[in-house]
Amino acid sequence: MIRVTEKDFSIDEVASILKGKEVGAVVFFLGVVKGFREGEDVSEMIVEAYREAAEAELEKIRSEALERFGIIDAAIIHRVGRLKPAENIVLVAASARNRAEAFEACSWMINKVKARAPIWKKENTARGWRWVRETVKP
Amino acid sequence: MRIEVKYYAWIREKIGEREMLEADDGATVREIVEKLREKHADLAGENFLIAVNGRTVDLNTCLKDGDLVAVFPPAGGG
Repeated sequence: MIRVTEKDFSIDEVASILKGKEVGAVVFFLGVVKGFREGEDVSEMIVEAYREAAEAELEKIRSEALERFGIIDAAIIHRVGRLKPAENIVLVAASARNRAEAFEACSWMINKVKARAPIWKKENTARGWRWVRETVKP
Repeated sequence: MRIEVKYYAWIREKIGEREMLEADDGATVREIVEKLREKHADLAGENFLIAVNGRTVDLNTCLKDGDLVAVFPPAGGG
């Protein structure tokens, strides 16, 4: 399951999709909007994506995780648009027979999303809007 | 041939959302990148990626009339 969307998501909905007869563990990573960064309050965020390429890259990351960690299923949902502090930005989830590979796959996927998906964040602070330029190695 | 170039994120804010570019038939992505760097001083020092018609490509890829070239910064989501 891959989604780039303006709408919020339901963790329960994703869990119900990822659960299955052989699944013994579902691990989630939930990324939320920080209200504070580098000493400044953040009042709002805009998340922009090159949607077509982002969806393709998220699908690629999901497929790679399935193969690399032997997990049963995985989901990546990334929101775009205007968001307030504490709102959900990204959900990454992995289901597996056992927790170890689910934890590993989930951690690996969020790192790859941050490093490879053409998605960018812009924050509004007291000094105005600024792009978040984090460098994460692919 | 005519190529459409679309920009994203802070590159869009510096250069604009999109533009049409004239190029020789069979021009490569590398030649288009050189052309863009000559045209836009704001691209100096910028690290950016290129996709053609939604797919990331290498610099030796040949372009054809009507291709859509996307110019975007490295990932910054999550």
